[in-house]
Amino acid sequence: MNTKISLTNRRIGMTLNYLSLAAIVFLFEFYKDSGFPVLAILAISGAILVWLISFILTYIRTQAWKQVHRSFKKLDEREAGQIYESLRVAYGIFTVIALAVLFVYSLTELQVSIIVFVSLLYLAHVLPASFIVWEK
Amino acid sequence: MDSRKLYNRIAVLRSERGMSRKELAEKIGVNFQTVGYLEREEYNPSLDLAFRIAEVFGLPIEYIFSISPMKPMSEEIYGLKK
Repeated sequence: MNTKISLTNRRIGMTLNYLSLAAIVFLFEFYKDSGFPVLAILAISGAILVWLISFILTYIRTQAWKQVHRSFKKLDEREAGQIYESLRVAYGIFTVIALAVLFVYSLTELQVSIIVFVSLLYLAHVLPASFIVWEK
Repeated sequence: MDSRKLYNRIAVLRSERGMSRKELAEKIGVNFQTVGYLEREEYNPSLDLAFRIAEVFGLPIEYIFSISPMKPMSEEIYGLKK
């Protein structure tokens, strides 16, 4: 992984990425039934911009995204161990989040929207990379 | 299971031979960052990798790796002469 970006900046980037993702989902879910006023569209656009920039700086420039999506055969033993650990932790976190989301939706009898589905899909891919980014 | 910390002389041996991390990494078949991890003793290599490192330096494995902190090479050589 490229470690030219400091650990603090990587962690800030990661936090911003998750916060902006949560904001996108929340705003979309909040306004989907009442139409999207201009202010909501601006807020969603702003959140998407923050999400995109933080994603590029935190996961693409550090090559963490590339590392966790690389074939296992192309990794050396240390990297393979690191990826195994990141996938193990990510699997646990993702299961809890996905089950919590499904539980809340079943309680409120709401339908899972495409934004929630895409966010969960993104989360499944980004969580292992987050582990790499968060660690040294 | 927590593994024991392994001490090594990779950094000294590499610089003695004027080898860059990248060159050593290519010879032992790992990413150059892994060489950094090994030199800082933040990662314990597998037996296979340890043997590959020993082969590159042409030294016995026990001369490169140890489970106790290693004496400086100059001190060991001086001890042998005495």
